[in-house]
Amino acid sequence: MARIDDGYDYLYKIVLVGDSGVGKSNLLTRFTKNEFNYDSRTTIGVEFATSIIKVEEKAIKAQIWDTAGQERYRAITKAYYRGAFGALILYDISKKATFESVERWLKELKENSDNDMVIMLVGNKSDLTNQRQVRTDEGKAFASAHGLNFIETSALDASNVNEAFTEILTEIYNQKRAKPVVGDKEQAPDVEKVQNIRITDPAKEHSKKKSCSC
Amino acid sequence: MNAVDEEYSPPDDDARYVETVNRALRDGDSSGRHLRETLARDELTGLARVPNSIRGAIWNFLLLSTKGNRELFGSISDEQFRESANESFGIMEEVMRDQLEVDAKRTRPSLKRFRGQESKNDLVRILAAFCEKENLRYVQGINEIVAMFMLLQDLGHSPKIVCELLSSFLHDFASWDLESSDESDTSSLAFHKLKYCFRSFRILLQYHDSELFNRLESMGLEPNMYATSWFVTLFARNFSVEATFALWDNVIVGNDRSDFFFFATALLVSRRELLMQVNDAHLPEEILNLRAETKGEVSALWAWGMKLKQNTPNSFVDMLSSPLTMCGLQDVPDKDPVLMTVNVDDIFGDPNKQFLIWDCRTMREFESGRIARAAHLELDGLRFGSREDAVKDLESVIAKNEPLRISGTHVCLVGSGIPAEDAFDVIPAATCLTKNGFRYISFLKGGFPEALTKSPEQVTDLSHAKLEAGISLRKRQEERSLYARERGVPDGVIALVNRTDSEVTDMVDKAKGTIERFGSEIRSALANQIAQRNRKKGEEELQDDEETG
Repeated sequence: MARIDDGYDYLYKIVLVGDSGVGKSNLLTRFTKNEFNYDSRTTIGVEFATSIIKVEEKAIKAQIWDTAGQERYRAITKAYYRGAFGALILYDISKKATFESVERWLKELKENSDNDMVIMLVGNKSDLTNQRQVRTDEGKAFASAHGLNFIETSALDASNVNEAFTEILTEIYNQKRAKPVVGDKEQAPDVEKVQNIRITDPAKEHSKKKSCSC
Repeated sequence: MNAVDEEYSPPDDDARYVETVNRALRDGDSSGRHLRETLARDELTGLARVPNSIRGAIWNFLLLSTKGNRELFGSISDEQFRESANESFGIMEEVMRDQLEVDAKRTRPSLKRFRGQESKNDLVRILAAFCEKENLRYVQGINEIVAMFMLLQDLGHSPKIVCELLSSFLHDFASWDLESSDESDTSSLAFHKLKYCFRSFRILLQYHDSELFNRLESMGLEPNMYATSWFVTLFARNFSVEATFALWDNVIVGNDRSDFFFFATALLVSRRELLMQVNDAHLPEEILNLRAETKGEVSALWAWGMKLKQNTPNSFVDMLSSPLTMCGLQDVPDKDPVLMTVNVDDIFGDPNKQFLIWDCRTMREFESGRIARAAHLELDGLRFGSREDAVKDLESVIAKNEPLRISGTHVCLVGSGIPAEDAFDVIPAATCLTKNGFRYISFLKGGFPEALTKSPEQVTDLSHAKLEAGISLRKRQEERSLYARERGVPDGVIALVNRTDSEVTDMVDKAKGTIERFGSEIRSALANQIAQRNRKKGEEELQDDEETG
């Protein structure tokens, strides 16, 4: 069967959460396409992108889910967290209120995830130095009090964006390294990502093995 | 992801055609029938051609004048509207005001129309006035709908008219956006109507393409993961301006709220090849990037959707079309099986669809009164037997239906109509079929008793006394076989295409009854399928040879 296969050793699902307008979508496009879009549009529901990074010679593919920030959408976004190994909670350093919501997002993640997630707190829009309302040490303090990683980024000038994703992916990799994926790359997503949500379907399992027996 | 949002410069309309349509607008009856009849049809798809230069007038007429939809604001001027909208904005809570302003900047921002501050202000005003009048909290996504109305050239950029159109449009075609929400009560954050729509959408997709449905669901891709913006913005967030106009032309002129569901199903089914073959890791990206850019693409998808509609049980289409079903909904329990239900009118009263009816009750019950056209499906193993018996029954269900897999026959399973009993025969049998990629699978709501009451003329060999005896025997058997209740229902069994040759021969033997009963169409469908299987086998062998060589 003709499948697009760009080759990777591990596949990790990561979710981006945080209040509306903190720059989740732009952080994602900065990381996956190295673009910043002044004309970006409101995320309705969910958006998605992938990117590959190398950690210790292993290709790690990140499946990044970017969710709508509006409170109302949380009623239907629970499924987004399923199978995620990591999460970035974003706030806008120039808007205090978005930092105050972080605790709520943390609770939301803990209630809805089925994995022990690596969570990173991200203060975005660090380029807006003149409008800063949340000091770096406030972010740091919150992160260390809750056992989270912490970084400040700017999707606009690209500072620390790759670092943020690399750090969280590396940490997930280190955590999961105990369970290496065997051989066939086609199988990798099953092992690492969808183990909790796949329904048993002997027909499919069977045909799959068959098509990959090469 | 954010696609580049291209400026839409519509082609010039044919002046004579515009004049004809204008005349229909002026002289037409208030039902809009005359206007609908006057609109020219696309040669290929039969869809209405709405001239760009008078789209606003046409939408306005069809959404407001023809429906007696109440006007929210009466006859006030745009200036008065702006004033009153400013007040509505002023009394909103701060966080909501911020949200509106943020979203106004993020609404099709690359288009000329939305670059100026005044249009952003109007957008905010329209949203604020709308939410106040409708007593709603703003839901992100409605901004995208407003934007489409603001892009109508011939409405003189009147915020008041845009606001009236918005209200009317949402009431008619996207009532899930109008759910009020009291944020102090977290359960009311729940998008009940939208969830209900997603459920209907899952049933629809499963009915028409269970293989694709199974693949998406097994990857955790339920509609809330990919179709939220489809439903909340009626594709305005996903499609280009040109494509969205074309889609909404069809929606508004067609005036049937179910059409949208079929369009969305067509969007998935039309890309099934890609979605079935793409690597698991890329599947979410592909599905979230499904879009239409041109009017031509929308027309083709629309026509595809209308074919799906013709092949959908009428009661389900009616349910999707009806405004009542969209109000006052409770949450549908997640554990309810995703499965098409039909009623007696669907299976007996629709000359356009051929239904094969399987009676899933016990043989005793079947022999004491049955739908004349029904065949019996033996499920005692599933009802009363061991796990092995149950698996055997399910395998036999697959075998007997195998000839129907690629035929266009609709298959309806009929049980006793008692939910606790249906859960152990009809539902698992039907689910087994859909899990194995059979399409057009449904079960009869209310089961055999429903057929008996509503369509007694379709029932034959009826003996009430024998039927009662049959039912009570079944009850006794159920009591004796508590084991069957405890073991639960086994997972699906393996489909034909993955079986060995001797198994296939065996299954074909078992299926002979079905074949004799339902004639040549099915015989040829089966022959096709076996040929397909052999082809596939041939290809695989070839591939193996190439690889080893």
